[in-house]
Amino acid sequence: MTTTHRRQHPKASLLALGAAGLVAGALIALFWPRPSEFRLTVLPPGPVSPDFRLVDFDGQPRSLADYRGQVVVIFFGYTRCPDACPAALFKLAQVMKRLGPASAQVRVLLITLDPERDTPQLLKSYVTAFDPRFVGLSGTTAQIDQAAASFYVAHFKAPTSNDYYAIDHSTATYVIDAQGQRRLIGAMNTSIDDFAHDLKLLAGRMKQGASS
Amino acid sequence: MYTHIHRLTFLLALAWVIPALAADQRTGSLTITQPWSRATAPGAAIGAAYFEIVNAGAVDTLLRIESPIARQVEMHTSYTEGGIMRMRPVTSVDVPAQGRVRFEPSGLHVMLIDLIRPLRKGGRFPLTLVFQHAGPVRVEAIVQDLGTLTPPGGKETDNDHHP
Repeated sequence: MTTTHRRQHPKASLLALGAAGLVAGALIALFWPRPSEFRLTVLPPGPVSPDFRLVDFDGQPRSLADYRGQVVVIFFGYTRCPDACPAALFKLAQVMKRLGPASAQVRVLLITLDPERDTPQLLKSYVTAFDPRFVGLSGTTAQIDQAAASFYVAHFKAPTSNDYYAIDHSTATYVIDAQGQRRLIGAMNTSIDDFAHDLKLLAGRMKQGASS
Repeated sequence: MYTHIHRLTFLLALAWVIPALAADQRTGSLTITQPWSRATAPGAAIGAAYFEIVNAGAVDTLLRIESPIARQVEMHTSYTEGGIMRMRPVTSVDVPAQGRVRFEPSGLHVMLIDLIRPLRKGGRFPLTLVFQHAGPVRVEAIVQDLGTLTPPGGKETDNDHHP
């Protein structure tokens, strides 16, 4: 009696194993990440669309929609930032050089997280020192908070002495495509090559879209 | 022709290395190597400076840093936590016996607050490190290009590294 049970049991479990294997295989085939053509981290569209209502360093009101048709690269920082911000902007300036003619379709923006101390003049002399095509954006504290939130950028004032504060902040670089969609995210250690590769890809795709 | 180019490269390398070496400052058992900074944009309020302290002797403590280039000089440390770069003041830095302490980007750094004048590439300015035991040690920081992340003579393309 027990032996027959034992004989049927392995058969049933083999069958179940086979079925499970098939399901697992199908699931893996469905969800296995296809190798991305991009080298930066690809961002899925989030529940909040990236946007901002700010003012550029020449006093012109700016929203993300103003840059539609261009690949937009955004870094959140501040001019009193000791090394992360100059390093990121210096790298993006080199990326622009590497892009050559394709750089005409790329717009690099620095959004200040320190609107109290970063005056328009200071913002302008700061960002254009890296590349004359770079644009600096500022606004009220509420506008900056809204812009940062739509990019999921964290930022906090960190006093270091009685009369000085630093700003703790996310150091990611965001890439928005020509349609205003959040596409890629770069890190402090993302190379110039990888940035140039991905921006060229997005800029090239934009051209195709325009011609078709 | 080949040897000429070779000699030229050697001389260029030497010209690059000598000022870096000349900037090293030794006081007693402490050596401050490669003090450097990076150029700032016109009107920029702050600059940062870095160096390495090599201690061949007993433990000492770096109490503060002074410089005529800025109205206020603080020691800060940066660290990354969950993708967020954070910065905190440091009141003093212990230099272990027979040890070393490095001030570097994304780590300990000298914060030059309210610069008297912009830092220009190729320029120099004095920094005085005040130690508890060794007393004041004056060094000259070399100003490098705008986005530089490594000391003079460091790999220029370090910005371009892969993780």
